[in-house]
Amino acid sequence: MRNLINKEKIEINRLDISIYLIIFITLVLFLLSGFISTRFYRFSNILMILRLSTFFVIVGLGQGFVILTGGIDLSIPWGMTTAGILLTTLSMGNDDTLIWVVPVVLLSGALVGLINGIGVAYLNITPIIMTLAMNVIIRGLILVAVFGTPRGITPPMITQMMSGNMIFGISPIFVIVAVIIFLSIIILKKTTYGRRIYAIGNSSQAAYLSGINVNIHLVSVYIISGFLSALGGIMLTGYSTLAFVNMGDPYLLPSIAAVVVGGASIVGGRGKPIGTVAGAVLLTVLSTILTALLLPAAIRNIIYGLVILIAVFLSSKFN
Amino acid sequence: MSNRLFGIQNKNYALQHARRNFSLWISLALLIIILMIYQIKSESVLNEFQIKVLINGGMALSFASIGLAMAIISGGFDVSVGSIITLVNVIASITLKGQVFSDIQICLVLLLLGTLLGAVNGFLIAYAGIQPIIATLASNFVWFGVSLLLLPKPGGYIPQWINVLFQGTYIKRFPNAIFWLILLIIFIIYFQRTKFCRSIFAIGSDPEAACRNGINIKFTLLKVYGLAGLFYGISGIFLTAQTTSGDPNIGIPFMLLSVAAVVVGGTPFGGGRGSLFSGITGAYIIRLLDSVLISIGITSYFNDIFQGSILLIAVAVSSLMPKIKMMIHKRRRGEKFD
Amino acid sequence: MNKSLLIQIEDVSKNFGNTQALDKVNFMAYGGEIHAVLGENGAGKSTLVNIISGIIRPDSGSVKIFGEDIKSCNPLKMLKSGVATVFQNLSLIPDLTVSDNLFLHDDDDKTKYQEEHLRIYEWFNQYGIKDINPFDVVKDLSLSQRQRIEIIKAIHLHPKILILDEPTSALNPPEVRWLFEIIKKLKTAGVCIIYISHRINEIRGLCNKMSILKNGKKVGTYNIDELTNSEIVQKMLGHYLVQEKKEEDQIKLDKAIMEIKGAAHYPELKKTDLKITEGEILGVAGLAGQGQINFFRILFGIDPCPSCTITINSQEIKIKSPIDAIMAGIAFLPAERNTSTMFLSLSVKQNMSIAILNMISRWGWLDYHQESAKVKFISDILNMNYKQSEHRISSLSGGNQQKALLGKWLLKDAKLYMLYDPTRGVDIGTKFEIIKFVKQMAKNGKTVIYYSTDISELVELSHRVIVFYQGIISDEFTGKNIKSDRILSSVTGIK
Repeated sequence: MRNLINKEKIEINRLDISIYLIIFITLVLFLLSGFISTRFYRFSNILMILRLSTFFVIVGLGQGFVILTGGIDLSIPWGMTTAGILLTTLSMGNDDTLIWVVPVVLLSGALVGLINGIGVAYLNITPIIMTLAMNVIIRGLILVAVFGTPRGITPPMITQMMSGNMIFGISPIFVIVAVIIFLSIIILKKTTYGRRIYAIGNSSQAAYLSGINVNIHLVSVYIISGFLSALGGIMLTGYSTLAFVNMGDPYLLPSIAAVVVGGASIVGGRGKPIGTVAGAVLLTVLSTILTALLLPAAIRNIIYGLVILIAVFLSSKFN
Repeated sequence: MSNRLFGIQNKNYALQHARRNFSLWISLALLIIILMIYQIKSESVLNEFQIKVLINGGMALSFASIGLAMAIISGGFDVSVGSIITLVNVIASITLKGQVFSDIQICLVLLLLGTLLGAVNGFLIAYAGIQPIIATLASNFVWFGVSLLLLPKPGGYIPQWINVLFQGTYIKRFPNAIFWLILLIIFIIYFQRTKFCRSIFAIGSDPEAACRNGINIKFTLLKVYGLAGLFYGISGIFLTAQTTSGDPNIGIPFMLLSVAAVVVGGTPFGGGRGSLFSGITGAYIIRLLDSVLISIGITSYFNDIFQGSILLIAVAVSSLMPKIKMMIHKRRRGEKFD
Repeated sequence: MNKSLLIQIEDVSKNFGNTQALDKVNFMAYGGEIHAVLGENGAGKSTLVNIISGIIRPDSGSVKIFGEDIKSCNPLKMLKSGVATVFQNLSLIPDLTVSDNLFLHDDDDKTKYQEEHLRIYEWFNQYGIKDINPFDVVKDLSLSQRQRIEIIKAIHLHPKILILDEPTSALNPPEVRWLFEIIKKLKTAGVCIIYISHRINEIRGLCNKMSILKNGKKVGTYNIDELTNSEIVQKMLGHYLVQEKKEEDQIKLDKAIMEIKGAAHYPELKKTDLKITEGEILGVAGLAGQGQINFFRILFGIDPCPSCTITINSQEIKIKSPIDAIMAGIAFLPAERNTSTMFLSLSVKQNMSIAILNMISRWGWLDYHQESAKVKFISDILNMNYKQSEHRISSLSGGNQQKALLGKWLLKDAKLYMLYDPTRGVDIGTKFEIIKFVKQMAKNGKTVIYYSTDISELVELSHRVIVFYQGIISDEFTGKNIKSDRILSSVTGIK
């Protein structure tokens, strides 16, 4: 009996242990990166890494909500790209338009999420198919709408948001990302909504039999992911001064990797947003090292793929 | 007595087969309808050249979809279709030289490679216990990455003889493609009668019952994904023959298209049901639809929308199918279904 | 008569995580005998079957089949060497046809369709099956048809050892006689037959020996006429079969709170008209597949029944989903304790509070203190160890899990509790606790619909017992008429 209790105490904290492990590995990697060049240790470099990681964090958090319910969102690439294209095309580089353009862009992301959610929850279409198809459909839609070439440039205010020094010397984006991280943690840990999400991820059948409206909750997580993808697209556009086709493609795999490396279960029901954040930072550090080693971009995908496999395998072994 | 029995059982068998593969027959009907539409649009009886182009156009997708169908019937999924095709294509474009003898050897090695890559998936799924979707998604990106490393930009060299072997005509008025198609169909007919194929359906239908019947689930799944990988390899070779060049992105559209083909062809998700033929019918429906749309003048972006939507509609219908079937079934049994 | 020792199991133990399924069990069976294995749910019968069939390996001990030591886990090899099993939850592949299922392991890969089908027709003739078409897909068949195919599947291979695990659960009396004929013929041919069943009367008519398992241990092996029914039950359960209701348990109930009327048009459930009274414990009896689970599911909104009318406190209520049912004050505790009823990675506390989230939160913000207080309150009432409430529910024993799930609904303060076989697979101590608790609940005004495969439980608990047979409520027993033997007969269709 005593063994049972001890085992249980450890099990519940296994998730936390894996998150600490990730943070530890990140620090080790960071220290090792110094061997490539001591420039890595400069504050400006650390800041750049953190800035880069915000993209992975945002899409990772969105993906995390979906994965918690046992689904997956493959529409992130074109969700981001569409948001970016809409931003530049609708605003044409004008800060004045932002007051309505930004909400429209974010809402359109949420709308895509809504459609994803309805397909998954009400039409019983498996998430991988639904979001994969939506990815292709919104690609078609947005490219038709802009006749194949995105127009406009990023409004300066967005660029400022990403790289400026407005609040106490740090860019506004960090504040925004911090708020979103905080909200994610709070919502999942302390609200009835969050509890129900975990329940559904554990067993949608048991949740249904306990009186939870499973469908509505499923739709909601896809809306969240769509919204955050759109935000990610805005951020990306702010970082690169214009939107270009395929700009969202490199973010799908890392969004899944960040979630899985952060300790979440790929079949849902287990995981914490702080883990996703840790995973996102780890991946960014990894990515920066790979770039500094002058390895071709292709290696990145291979490594991400392997990282996901290892993380999922380890997580299934220990749980 | 036995002759009469034969008569009865043949009739029963045909009826039952039709009922069980209901979706397959529907997809076949759809295929014929679209063929007719295509015929009408081209305003003349299809000549030999058009037939050749038609059949050629669907071969690669057919093979890919058949492989995917196997994975789906076993109750799983395979996202890595496009990546294995791409890797085969890329390696072919780098290694083929134009000397028929050594080229054939290379092709055989490539087929072996496809099988091995598929077996890796199978291993991850059956022995490492990783969900099929995530295992194949991850391996998908790994193989694409490898392809990109080997061939960063489209190029490479594909000898002419391969193109002719698969796409050309050796015997007059009889395009090679027909030959390949017939070979494929014969293989499927034979394969669907084997114990191995039955065990794939069994595992997809009820893994626990399959286990109790003594089916070695892990090993069978390994073989299933390996075989699927072989088919992706064949698809890659066909595709290479078609495009006569290497391209590290060539397999990307196959991810969506192969799934669409399988579902449109009548094999639903969930496992245990469907038919390998659906890979062929679905592939040709998709390709023909493509051609019809182009001939109407729909640009490629609209094409995206259509493809995605068709996939969604097909999947939605497929998941509603059991409910429709149940209603028909109950009506036939004389029960009221309120 | 040459009676060879075909099965020799010595000192075999098997452990599944928290449960000791088998504990140093010895078992021997000979050719030409029909050997019954008795025991309540969770006693270890299925594990024993699985070990003999080669599906699982014991943790310790030796298993000798046909004199050979069995070391590895190879069901196919066992099948081929002559051990066939008729499984309780059938081993038929639902999406394949009958013929595919019968020929799943055909030796040559090129299966010859014509020959196969001829053979099937011959077998069906030989075994007197007239209502099944070999090309029917298994999932379209009725439960009785499937069970008969499962039986044919096992015997057509001419096994030397035949294991039958609850083979008559879906068969009607003529079909049961059909099965017994076949088994007797096999016995004369020298086959060793292991027969697992709950139905003592069936066993008396068929078997010549019996072994009784209890909590993973073998209580003993006896000749069939060595023990009386009471003695058998006593050895199985550890207490005597409650034959009759005690006087003080019979109380007068008059406040009808619920009425269900209507026809369901399911193949399994046809018509139910029922009135339920407040504070009543309504016992439900019936073999598997006689419609009772459908009844529960309809009441909880899982399955639709458009032509049913449900009235609660004289008001008609539409129950279209579990949410409606829960709002009407109904709770449902299904039989399975797995992913369909529990949140395995969540803590016991989180499992228990899942239905009352609105009560322990303000504007969506959870109040952990209130959650803990409420859970502790119910834990104490249910005699559960509150300290365990932070642990994952998967670490609890079956009995404690069941208590937790019951606690979940108690927290919700439901009015009508539908418990489906709640003590299945639960240890004896917890079983008694649950029974005592249900009685207390009823005294406190809660209404309980209680289905159990253990008839003595029903006798002990219920104010009224209804029996489901072939889709309708075929019998009702009240007061003094609640007797085990009467219910038992009614359940098997004997009037």
